[in-house]
Amino acid sequence: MAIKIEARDVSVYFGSTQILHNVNLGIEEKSVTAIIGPSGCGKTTFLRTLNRLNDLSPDFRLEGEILLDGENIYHMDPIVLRRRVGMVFQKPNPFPMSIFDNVAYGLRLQGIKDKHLLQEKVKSALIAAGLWEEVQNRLSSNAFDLSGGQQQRLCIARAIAVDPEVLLMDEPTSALDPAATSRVEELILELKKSYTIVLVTHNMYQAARVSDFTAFFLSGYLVEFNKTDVIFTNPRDERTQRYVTGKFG
Amino acid sequence: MRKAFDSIWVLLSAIAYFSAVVFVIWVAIHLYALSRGKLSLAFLFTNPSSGMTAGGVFAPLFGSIYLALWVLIISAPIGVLAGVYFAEFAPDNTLTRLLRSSIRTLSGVPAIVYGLFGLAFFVRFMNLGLSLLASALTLSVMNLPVIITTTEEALRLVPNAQKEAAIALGANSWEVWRDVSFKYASSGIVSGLFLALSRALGETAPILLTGVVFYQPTVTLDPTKTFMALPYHIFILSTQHSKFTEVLPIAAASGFVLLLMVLFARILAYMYNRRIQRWL
Amino acid sequence: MLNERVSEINSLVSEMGGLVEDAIVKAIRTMVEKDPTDADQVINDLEPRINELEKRIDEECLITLARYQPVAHDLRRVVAVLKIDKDLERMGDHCENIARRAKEIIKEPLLKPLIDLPRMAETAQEITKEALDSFFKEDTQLAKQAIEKDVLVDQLQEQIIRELISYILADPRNINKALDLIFTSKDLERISDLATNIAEETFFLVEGSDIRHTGPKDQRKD
Repeated sequence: MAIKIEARDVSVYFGSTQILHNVNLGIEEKSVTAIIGPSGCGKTTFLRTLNRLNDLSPDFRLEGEILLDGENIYHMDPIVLRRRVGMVFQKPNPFPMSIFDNVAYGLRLQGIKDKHLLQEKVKSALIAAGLWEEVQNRLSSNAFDLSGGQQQRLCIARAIAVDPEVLLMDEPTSALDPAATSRVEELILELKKSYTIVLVTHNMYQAARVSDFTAFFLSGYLVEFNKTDVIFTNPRDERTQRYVTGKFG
Repeated sequence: MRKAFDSIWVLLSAIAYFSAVVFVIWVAIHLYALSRGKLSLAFLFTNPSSGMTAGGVFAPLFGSIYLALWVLIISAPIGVLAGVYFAEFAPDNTLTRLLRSSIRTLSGVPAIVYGLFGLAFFVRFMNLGLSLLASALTLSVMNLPVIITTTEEALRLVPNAQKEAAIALGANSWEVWRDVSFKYASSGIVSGLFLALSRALGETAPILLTGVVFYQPTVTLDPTKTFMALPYHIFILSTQHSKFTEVLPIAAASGFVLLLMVLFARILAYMYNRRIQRWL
Repeated sequence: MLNERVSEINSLVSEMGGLVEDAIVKAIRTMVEKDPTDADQVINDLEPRINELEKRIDEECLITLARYQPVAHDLRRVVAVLKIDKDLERMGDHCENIARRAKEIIKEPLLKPLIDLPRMAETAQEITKEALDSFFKEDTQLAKQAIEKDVLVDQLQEQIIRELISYILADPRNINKALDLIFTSKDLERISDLATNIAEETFFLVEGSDIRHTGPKDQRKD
């Protein structure tokens, strides 16, 4: 299968502090790639580099390149990039709008105004996010009335409504209870059939359950990257072994 | 023991709160009583006459409202945009820090100083003469620090997560402002604007030196002319008029009107916030 | 996730079981039909595939344990499968032995008409099928049935040995052919034993009980 998004010799600096050191990583399309590692190892920084969200930080500096389908993401309009590479955040962050308006937001940004088209796309996004049944009768109610797990699925629906190619997920279940976590994990397994998913998680059991490939980061270095089967049965690097067996982090 | 102390604390807070409210109500009632029947709808729409001993308060009322409008039109856009700049776009360097602390200092400068500034700059140097425009400009300058500061503070309180959500969906900075920041910051911004508005309605010193007059027979929309204003009107009636006892009711009535206007503006601001806050 | 893995493992075990049953049948058929093609199939095709499946199933089980940390029933299933596939592989080995020997045996006229050996093979195959069925259906009654049938196999084996000993005593020149048949019966007896091990794992899966070394044969005291 093809590489969808690739980091080549990527180093990231915030001011004079180097957060990521020479990361080389190729994410395969329509798979789930998990990024694991102890707190502060740079995994969220890496994720946010993929949709240029780090650009918002004033002293962010990138060395190396990130390629989406072979094209350097800094040679394209960041607005276009973010439509192709969506993101779901750690704490659910729906807008203070109705459920419908939340999901339609990205579509409206793109200029879609036709009511029927919007309704269609919102419905299919909510179905894909496994939320349609629960909200179909109250699309105009406030998004904040939903439970945490529902809000997160709403955020997922909002992200996939614009039909991205890649979905970045930054610890999407860490603020959810076990039942909601389980639902989102099942959802991820469904979603990978259509999207390339990059999942940052501090819970390596989640990585073990859900991902096809796992990348282990430590102190800003990519220590090991391999199929999840290998990482969890026979990792090549001693440090990876120590991390997954819980000896540190 | 701790429980007793805690109860005392709560009680004191309640007393303080109610005192403030009671005080305002008392002032209103007192003014109303002093006005001794002069208050009526006609009062609002009739001009003062017979050397202020009779008639209404139309000209000063109109003048104050018109002035406030001008002040808002001038200071609101500049102030809010400046606040937006400081919150979102200003680079974190010495110049920015300097500007920011200067603005905060300026918000503490007494009104009369602004009045003197207005006289020197707008009236004399810019050759606007004594006029509503000069007063409006002076009051705007006085208000800008407050508006800028409250706008900036309000924007800082906008949750980053919300902005990031919009950006991650492909919103540009204008869209982030329109769809996210504005909703969260609007109540703070409106509070700042309201503060500006109430100062515009109530401050006497700045307008004293730049354009207000005690008596002007015609009410005009021309900002290059002088104007009448409620606070000044009340001041003169209460302290400078020769026939004090006769005009006191009128003064009290004017004061009551001013109080009501401020209250009304406050209610408008509250209703606007309710509408925006419905979703938050 | 876990469920898919378990289904995958089950179908691999089922496949392996099918190959073993097939190997038992074909190994004996060589001697009955006097046709070496069946034996060749066992040696060159079925047995290598059985070995491959053992490796594959072991790997699947390892990954499943590592990635999904199954507990309780799921854990017992994975652990049981790890033991079962070893038994199946050994059964495959014994089938290969039978097949190789059969090719040699049929080069000469048989010592005696084969009656009991085919019956042993048939019963061994039945036990294998029932044991595996009982595991997939989680049916301890069926498992018990399979275990008890093993007694039959043992009885047949004793019968065969007695009969062949009499042939040897009758004419010592028969010894080689007789030994070949005796060894074949030994292989079949081992196949049946291994199949009952599989049935014992059903009890482990369903009840969590370990009934190894408590079967009818273990009860026999000398």
